Amino acid sequence: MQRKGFGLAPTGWVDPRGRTLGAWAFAANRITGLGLVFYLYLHLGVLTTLLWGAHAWGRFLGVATNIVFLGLDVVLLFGLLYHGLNGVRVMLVGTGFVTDRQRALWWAGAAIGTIVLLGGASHFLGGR
Amino acid sequence: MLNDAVEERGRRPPEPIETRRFNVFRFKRGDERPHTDAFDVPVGSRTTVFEALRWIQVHRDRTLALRHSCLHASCGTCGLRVNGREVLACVTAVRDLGREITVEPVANIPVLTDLVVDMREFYERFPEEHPLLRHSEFLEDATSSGAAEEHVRFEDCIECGLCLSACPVVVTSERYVGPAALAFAQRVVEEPRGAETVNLLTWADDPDGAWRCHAIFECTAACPSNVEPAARIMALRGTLLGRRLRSERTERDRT
Amino acid sequence: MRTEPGTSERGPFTTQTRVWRWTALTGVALLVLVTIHMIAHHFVVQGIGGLRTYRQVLEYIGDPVMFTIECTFLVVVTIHAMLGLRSVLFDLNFGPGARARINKALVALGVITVVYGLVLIGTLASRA
Repeated sequence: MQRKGFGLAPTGWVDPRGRTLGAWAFAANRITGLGLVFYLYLHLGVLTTLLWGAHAWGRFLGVATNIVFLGLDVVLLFGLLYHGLNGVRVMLVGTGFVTDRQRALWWAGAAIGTIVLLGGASHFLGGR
Repeated sequence: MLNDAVEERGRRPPEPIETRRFNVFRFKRGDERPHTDAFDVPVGSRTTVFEALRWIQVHRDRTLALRHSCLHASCGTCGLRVNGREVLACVTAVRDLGREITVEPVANIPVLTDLVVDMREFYERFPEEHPLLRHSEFLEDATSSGAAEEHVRFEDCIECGLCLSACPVVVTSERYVGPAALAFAQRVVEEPRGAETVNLLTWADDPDGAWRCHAIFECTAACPSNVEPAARIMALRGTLLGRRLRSERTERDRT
Repeated sequence: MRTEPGTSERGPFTTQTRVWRWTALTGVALLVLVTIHMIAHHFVVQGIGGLRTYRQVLEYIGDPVMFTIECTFLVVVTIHAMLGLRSVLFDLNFGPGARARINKALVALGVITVVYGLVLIGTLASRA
């Protein structure tokens, strides 16, 4: 049997070759979702330093205000915006509403997300 | 008038011919693994992929296996992947493709030989009782050949399997019934014509039924006919949710 | 699947519709909760990246309204994350037995996450 993917069946949804917008949108939704699950636990771990007092938290803030970390905050913001706005599209379309406008919904979400991301990025990176 | 047309055609300059390289998937029973054969094929401005493959069969390699029938996108037999995209070979113009053209069998369906796949994989995803087959209506004064009492065809669907090939979920989940079967479930639910739909909705309301679809819409993009499988699956989910809400309301009113 | 009608998990119109509804509803709730969370922790306080100091964190979480919002956010995001993970894992061709174990494991992981997060938030609020 021929399968799209990179040799292993579970990679089929990641393979971008020969795909249209819907497949790219889904792959990005899944990747951002998995990234955000990872971030949830990373975040809980980081917040645990608060239990060790002001000094420990202050040391973390010293690292978190580093330009690399602020850049990662922008990546986080992208992940949240993409997953959230595309999620609205998936929720509507996935329940049978506006299925004939699913591409337009994606582009609308992309436009809104881009504006918010640019604003957020300028705040995170411009404050230094 | 016909003589004039023939004469006119004879006076026209010959159609320009160019050469395109076709990289064709090859696999025969007994082969350890598939391989690709390259063929340089002369093509004109209106040559289709199917015609190019037939040229290869006739002039270069008689062992190349491919399926075809109607040659006008109504039977679905010649479904293939060309440059990674699902198409019907008989209506895909070579001029719209690149200098090098990759031809492969449809994905997610076992390969029998070369570009021919075992379509039983497609049909086995439908419920065994096949409540989804809609018998075509015979006109009263129509006459049949006598070979069959009635003809059975899917509505709109030409059973090409391109949706199954295109679906990224089918790649990872063999249990998923796939777009074609679900699209037909929705079609019967939409217009039952006396068919029982409760069992069908139960069948669809399954982790590997309508809920395994992730609204990717690759099936709709690949479908060469009018089925729109993704929209139908989403409508089916809407129906399932509606029935769930109504059954909950009924239970609450009862208690 | 690929069986006769009515032979799947359990009765009609139960688990899957419920899963979809909860994914959609928690997703919608998160649009609001994530927005509040991001604004509160990155766009209110003056400073690089809008990050709060230790004292500012305690002051924030000590407020009953924000405490309630953050606890709600934790519960909702964990439910949404577990349902998302379930969707990813259920794509991987597991049989009914393995899927039942995945369901139980995700419920356990979700409970542990929420309990840990609530203990963390509660401890910090008590220091305010």
